[in-house]
Amino acid sequence: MLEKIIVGMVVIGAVVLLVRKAVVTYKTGGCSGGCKDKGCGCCVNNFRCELKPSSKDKKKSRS
Amino acid sequence: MVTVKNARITVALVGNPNCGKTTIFNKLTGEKQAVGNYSGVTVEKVEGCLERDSINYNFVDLPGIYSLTTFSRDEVVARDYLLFEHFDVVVNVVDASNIERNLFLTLQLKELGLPMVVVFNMCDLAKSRGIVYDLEKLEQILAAPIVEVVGSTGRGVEQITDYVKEVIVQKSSGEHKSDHLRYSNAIETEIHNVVTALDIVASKEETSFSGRLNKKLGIRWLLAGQRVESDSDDIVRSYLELKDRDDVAVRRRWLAIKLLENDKTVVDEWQDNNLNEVVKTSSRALSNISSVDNRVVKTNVPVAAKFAAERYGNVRKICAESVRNEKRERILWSDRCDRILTHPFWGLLIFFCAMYLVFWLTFALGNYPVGWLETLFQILSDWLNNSVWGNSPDSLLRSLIVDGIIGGVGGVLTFFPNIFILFGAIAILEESGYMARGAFLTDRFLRRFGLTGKSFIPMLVGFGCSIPAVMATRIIEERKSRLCTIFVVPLMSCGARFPIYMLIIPAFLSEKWQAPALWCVYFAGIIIAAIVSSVLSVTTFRNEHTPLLIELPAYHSPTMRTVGRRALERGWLYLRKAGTTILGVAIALWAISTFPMLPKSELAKYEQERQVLQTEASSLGIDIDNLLVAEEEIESADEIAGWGSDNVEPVSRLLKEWHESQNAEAEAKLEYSIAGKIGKAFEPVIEYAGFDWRIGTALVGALAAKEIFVAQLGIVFKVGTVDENSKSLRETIAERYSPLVGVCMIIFCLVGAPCFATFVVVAKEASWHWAIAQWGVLTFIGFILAVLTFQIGSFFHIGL
Repeated sequence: MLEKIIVGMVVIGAVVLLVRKAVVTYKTGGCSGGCKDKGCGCCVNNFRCELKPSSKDKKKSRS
Repeated sequence: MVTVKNARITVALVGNPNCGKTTIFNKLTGEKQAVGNYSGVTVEKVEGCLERDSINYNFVDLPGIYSLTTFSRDEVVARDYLLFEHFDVVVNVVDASNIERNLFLTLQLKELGLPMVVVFNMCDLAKSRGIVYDLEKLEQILAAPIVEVVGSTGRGVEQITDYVKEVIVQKSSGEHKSDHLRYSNAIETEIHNVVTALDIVASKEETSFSGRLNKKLGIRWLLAGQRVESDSDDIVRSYLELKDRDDVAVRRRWLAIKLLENDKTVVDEWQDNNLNEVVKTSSRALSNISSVDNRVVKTNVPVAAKFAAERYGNVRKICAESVRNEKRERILWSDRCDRILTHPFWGLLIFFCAMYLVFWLTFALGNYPVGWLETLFQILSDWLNNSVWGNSPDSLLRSLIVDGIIGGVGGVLTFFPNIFILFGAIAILEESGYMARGAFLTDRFLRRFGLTGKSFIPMLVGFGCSIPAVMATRIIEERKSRLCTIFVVPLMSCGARFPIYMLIIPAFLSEKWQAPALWCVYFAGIIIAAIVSSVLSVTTFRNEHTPLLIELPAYHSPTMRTVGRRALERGWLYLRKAGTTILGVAIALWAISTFPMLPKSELAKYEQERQVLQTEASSLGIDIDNLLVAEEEIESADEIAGWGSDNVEPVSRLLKEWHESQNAEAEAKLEYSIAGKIGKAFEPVIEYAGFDWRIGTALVGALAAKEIFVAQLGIVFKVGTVDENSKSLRETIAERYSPLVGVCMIIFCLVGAPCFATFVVVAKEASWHWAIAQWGVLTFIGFILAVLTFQIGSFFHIGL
């Protein structure tokens, strides 16, 4: 029974992850992840993600 | 001494394409934006921060532009930012090895009255070419400080912020005066007339703001000063106030020049806003300029060309005064190379050979680590099957981990070394500057098919991923050429398709034919793209021609660090995708390949079959479990004889029937699952291309991402069989399908059904109609090609 619960949770988690990715891909026009270091690497390929980097991400820049 | 503290300064990085803006941007901010030794790498503005001496610098890296008269979408991004966005200082990056051409933009920025720091990049290259310049004189002429840097090593980059600060301090104290470029007297008179007309309109609007001009270049822009941020310190505030005051006068002059140049964007905006009095004045001024210049009248040269000629005249004058070339007579090493590498025949031959070498290296070096990874995943699967779940082979969790995750994600991860080598090799070609020659060489070839050499850059990017490739089409000025390129970009074999080729090609071909086959697949993508675009050019996009204007950069020797970083970046993206999207899809696909489970009555039927076999084995004095364990050690019938010569035939029959029963059960389970039902639903159609329902399920999975095709085949063959755990996926594919079916799989995956992310990005960049048309047409073509290949091959008994 425990095994079935674990498998069920893993499958539901995977489906949630995929739906989230699909929604973000749709919203951001191709980038499946969001902003830098979170997405599919569109940022590395030099087009700007429409979800702007958070202030936390900006602080990561060199100071 | 005046100082700037606790301020936020926005700096726009602007310059010609391929002058090293992004390299400097990365050095300043610690970002990792993509750079390349060819123009058009940056197509959208990118921001990054740097905090130094209590000042927060916000750098904005803009796409490269040659002038403020724009054509392509990436140029519009840069021009619009300079005209309409809030920023404090412009850092104009100039390629010091090519000052004359770069200063054309510098003068235009000066014309716009922007507070500016000029950065001479690639000074080492300029010195090695014998270019000597008088910095003090140039600073005086341009009325802007100049800083020498070497972007690739970071030399001098740190000083840029000091100069930015200096410009702000100077301007705020009123020391810095913006000085615009002077044209000939006739032109200056007409500029003055148009400015006066603009002043009249502006003064009317200032008192009774009707709001009729609410477009970008309308009166709002003409009147509006930049908003002074309340949190800025005194120096920055006074700087902004002075900048605003200057801006208004400079903007009117700039607008007058653009109207006289007949700049389409500006004139359209003003006509749309019914400000005909200004347009009329500028038209009158235009004819006045034309009438006083005989050359303009005789040759029908547009007035814009006269402005450009005067600007170039100024550039030449500046260069004559302050720049000299001590090695002018020598032919550069790059030029000598280009005599052969850009030759219409030898150049193309070398280009195709270089691409072949890339694919050969991918196989020759990549096959060893791929083999190690395959073995590693097999050992892991066997260990989990035998040691961890040895007593419960029907465990769901075992199936999820071994069949779903290891079978799916492991199948994709196996090809990581090939991806790393392929992108490392492409990075070497890009960094050396050879890829820009690729665009030049293929221009004539592509032009025959309705594309241009500029289409080559997005197509090249498409070998990595179709998403940035669609974005990279922004460098193409003409809208129809751009749409045409967007349409064919997914035909370039992206990194996601690579594992499919790496799975199928070695499954059917010996080592010496693998690299040529891969080269043919990539080349086939280009040929199909050419055919599709030529059909589009004679039907939808008839009579569209755009000239190729591309910069051929000097050859650089690529550094190991840059090449390694590029290959690692791409490899990391692949690993990250395998760990997120592919993992998620693999788990979901495992679930639909496992559920719903076969009814107990059906399972009991197979159990009963095996009970009968077990009873039969017992009557012969053989324990079937021992026999199955020993089977792995047995390699021939002679060895079975060790069980007793009388038992050879019954033992081998028992084993065969046992496995047949197990396989039939596994197959029935898979057929009963959702994936099986989907595959079966497609089978009547796809069987014309030689595909069975298993391939059908993999093709459906590949709609999300192409790598899923490999992952799903891994899952299907793990779930659907029980006696092949010790075989690699390649061996299983080779046993189950003919080489002809392998070719058909490659053809369909190469041409058909772009992935979901590509579909979305095409919809955003072009339109939803275009995305739907592209998806439908490419899928149709891919399927028809696969069907034709299979039917013709079957008819002539080729590859069966």
